[in-house]
Formats: sequence, structure tokens, C-alpha cells
Amino acid sequence: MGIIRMLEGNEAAAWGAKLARAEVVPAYPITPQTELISTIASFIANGEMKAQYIKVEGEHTAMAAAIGASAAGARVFTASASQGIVFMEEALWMPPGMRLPIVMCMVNRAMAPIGGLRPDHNDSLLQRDTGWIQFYCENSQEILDTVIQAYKVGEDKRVYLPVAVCYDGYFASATATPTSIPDQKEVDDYLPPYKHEMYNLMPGEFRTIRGFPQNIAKARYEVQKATEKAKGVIEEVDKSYGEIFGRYYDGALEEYACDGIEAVFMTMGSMTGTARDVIDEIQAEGKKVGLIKMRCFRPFPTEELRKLAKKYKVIGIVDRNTSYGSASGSGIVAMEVARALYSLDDRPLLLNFHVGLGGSDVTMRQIRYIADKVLDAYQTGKAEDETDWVELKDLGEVM
Amino acid sequence: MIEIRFHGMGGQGAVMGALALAEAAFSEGKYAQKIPVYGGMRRGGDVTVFLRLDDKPIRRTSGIYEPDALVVLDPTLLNVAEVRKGLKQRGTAILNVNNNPEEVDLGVPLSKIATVDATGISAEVFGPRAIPITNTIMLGAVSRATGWVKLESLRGPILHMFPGRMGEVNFEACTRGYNEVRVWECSK
Repeated sequence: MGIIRMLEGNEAAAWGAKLARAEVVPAYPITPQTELISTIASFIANGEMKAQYIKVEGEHTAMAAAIGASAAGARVFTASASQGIVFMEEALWMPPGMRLPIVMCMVNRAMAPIGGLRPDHNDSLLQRDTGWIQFYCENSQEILDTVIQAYKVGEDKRVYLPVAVCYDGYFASATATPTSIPDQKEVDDYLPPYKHEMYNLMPGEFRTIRGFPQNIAKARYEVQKATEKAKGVIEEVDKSYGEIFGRYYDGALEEYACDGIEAVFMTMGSMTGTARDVIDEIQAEGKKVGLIKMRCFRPFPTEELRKLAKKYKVIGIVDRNTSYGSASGSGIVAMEVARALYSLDDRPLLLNFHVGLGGSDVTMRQIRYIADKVLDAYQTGKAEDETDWVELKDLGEVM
Repeated sequence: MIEIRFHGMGGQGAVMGALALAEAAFSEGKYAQKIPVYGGMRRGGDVTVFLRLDDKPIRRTSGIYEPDALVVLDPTLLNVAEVRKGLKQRGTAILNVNNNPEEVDLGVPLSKIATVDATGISAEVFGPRAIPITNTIMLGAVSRATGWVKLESLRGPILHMFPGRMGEVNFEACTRGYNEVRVWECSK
């Protein structure tokens, strides 16, 4: 049995890394990630965590050091945010191709300009093409659990890929809530020490870090295949984690209060907690709208989403990001959902909402507005706007 | 659910104060959630912290715009429009101000107003400072005025946050806030 403590999201992530027995932590501080790596640094300084903390002069070097340590066989943890992630991006492409299961927390923070220090998802979503698996967490508990699960997924022989555990700056990173900290021994049993077998050359198997041009497509296809295989592994790992620790996250997608419902909207990250409260309120008023939480954005849960799409007549996608000049002005998640569902004969009506951009808060009223729009579309059979910038609407908010 | 908004200036300890209150409530078996909202961390800048207390798990992560209660750590903040904004009718205000609660007008009818001269107590306990430390004093005032947490429940979190002698000094400050707060039940 573990203990329950008030933990901020960043502290929860540090506990996850400690319980997973990460051995090397190269990191550079950046708001709102700083408390995460300072907590790890104090764990190491106190002798509670046996790991090598590598102070570096910037994020690019943090990832370079992470790559070296992981290739040498160490379990590696790092974290960054916003401009730091983007500064590291050149190096971020290496671990998937080298099949290195590094775990990194991406503490979401809006990109410059104008954005303050608070979150939207453009910093991590920009990395969606690199080959990193991406989880989006709702609160401290899910952050802690997901960091541990991330090693289990990434180090699985069928996968061997790096994993990003993303969560919103401030609304998750600095928000303290009661969090159950699992027992170290139980985590040790669940997650044995890391052993990288990828580099044991076997006849007939194709592996490369640096290849000739004729091999590159093959190497990339191997990464693609591993990403696809990760879907099943994510489900398995979530299930086995739940059996031991008693908490399940429904793999890649969670349906909340969707019984007998045909109109839903889909959220990612900390706004999901707010959406749960709104759903409870509006269902009590007789409005039949449900919620889907997207927990895993990479690999994109195409098959699962298609299965869900058969039940729903309307899906509203809530994007906490922008892709200027994109198809229909859609957010990144909406574009992926549209592609995933296009091949269905009977497609649900899709709505897209931009909210929480540049780090602004996602409020109860905004979520209620989204739910009402989804319900309108369900009743009328058509979407009023293809893409709705919710924050530009006057909702009578006292802010 | 009780939704509380803390306002302070950087250096007064609004974030730590709200966290200590959350920890105290948690130690009494309640659910608690603390969300700080600040810009760059710096002394003197404005700091807002959202605190929720409930008997069941707290899921929403949005800010608090229509609080049930305000805790204001500095008298100069009382005239700031953002600080008074959204406070619910019949709500509660716990303020660092050297006035009787009956003299306070926040523009809405409240059910309870509590005032304490936390700046004065701070000068006596911690010595005079440009930005007085008032967080633990206000926690004592909150405990007495609202009963959300017991004074004794604040002891553990405060001692944990301030190791060594400063822990005892801070709990003494907290106890003075508890003893010296003036509470006005406005509706009575």
C-alpha cells in the first residue's frame, strides 16, 4: 500500500520518475517545468533517488545527453516546456529512429509571442511527427501513474520508442491535489530494470541507426510499425497497472457519462476535469451530451475512435492549439479525427472548438457553451460554424 | 464545494498559505485543491491562488471567478477591482486590514466579514518589512472565522513548510491571527 499526499503535478511527475528508478536525468529548467526537475534534484541530493543528474547549458544538450545515456543502456528521464521543447526539437527526432525509450515530461506552455507562461498544446503537438508516443494527463494522479506506465510501454520489446507525458502548465503542473503514491516494491515488481535488447544484432532482423539511403524507408517503416504496435501495448499496460494499483485510464480514449448518448465532445489534458463537472451539471438538467477524453494522441487511436464514431451522431473536438491556415482552419486534433473517420460510410457530424489558447483558462461557461453547440448540431443536424473560436464569444464571464 | 480566492503580493506567501490550508483540510479527511496563478515569480507582483475544499474528489481545474470567499493578504489590494470582482452575494471575506469588519464595504452584501491587522502582527513577529509576510497570520484568521479547518490542523503543514525555529514562529503568528481576528456575522 502506498501513501496519499497533496502533490502538485510537477511533484507527481518527479515521484513517477523516482518510483520508476530513472538512472540519468539530464535537464534544463524552464517555467512551468522547473519544480519538476528541482524536486528530482532534491530527491537525488537527499539520497532518496539513485540517479545521475546532468546539469546542461540548454535543452538541446539535455536531449543529446539523454540520447547518449539511453543508448548506453540507462533508464533516462527528462522534461521541458514550450520554447525549451522546440529548442530541443532537432535532437527529438533521434530517439524514435534509434529506438530509445526515453521518457520526457512535456509541461505544456503556450509558444511566444503574446502567450504568458500558461498552457496550450502547440509545444507538444508540434512534436507529433517525430515518432514520440504522446500521453495527455488530467491531474497529478494521472501524471504519476502515466510516467510509470510510459517506461513500461516504451521499453516493451514490441515498441522501443520514447514517450512524452504531456500535462498543462499551472492547471496541472502547479495544482496540488491528493495523490496516491504507490509502494516502491510494487512498482519494482511491475517495472523491472531496463535492458535494451534492440542492439543485439540478430540474423534476418533489420536494425540501424545510420543507414544507406536504400535502407531509410525500411528503418522509418519499422518505427511506424512499432508505433502501431504501441496501441495494443498501451491498452495492456493500462490494464495490468490497474490490476496492481487499482487505477485505470481506459487506454487511449475514455468515454465519460456516455450511456444512451449520441452527441459528445472530446477534450485533452486538464480541461477534462472541468468538463466532467459540466457534463454532470447539464445531464442533471436533461441535456444529453457526453464526454470523450483523448489520453493518447500518438499513436493516434484510429480504430478505437472509429468504433466510438459509430455510436455518435455529433462529435465536437476541443482543440487547445492553433494551426494557422490549416484545412477548414481546424485545430490539430480535429484534422486527425477527420482523417481517421473519413473512410467510414456513415460519418458523424464534426464540430471544432478552439479554446484555452495562449494559456488562457478553460472555464465552466466555455465548456457549457461547447456542450450547447454540440446539442444544437445534434438537434438541427448541421454545424453552425466549422471552427468556433470560443474565447471570442461574449459568454458574460466575470474574469 | 467551497471555492476560495487568495490575493497577495509576491513575497507575502499566498501560494504557501493556500497550500498549508489545503494540507490542513486534507489532514482532516477533506478533499482539497490549490491552483496558483502568477506571472513570472517575483516579489511585489500580484499573486492569485484558487483553493477548493470539498467532501468529494475535486475534478474541475478552471480558475475561480465567482468565489464563495476571498482571503486578502494585503490592505492595499482591497481597492483593486480584480480582487473584489465576482465575489458571491452572501459570501465571506477574510481581510488583512486594521478596521472593524463593520466598516468594510466590498460592494456586495456578504454573510461574514473578518478583519485582522496581519500587517501589524507581522511587524511584531517577523520584524518590519517592505512587503510584510502575512500568510500564516491569515490562516489563523481563516480558521477562526470560518471553521473550515481547526487551528491545530494548520500546525503540521506550517511546521513542514518552515523547518526549524521558523516553523514555531510561523505557528505563533498563525495563532495570533486566530486570536485577534474580528468576525462580523453580517446577516445577524
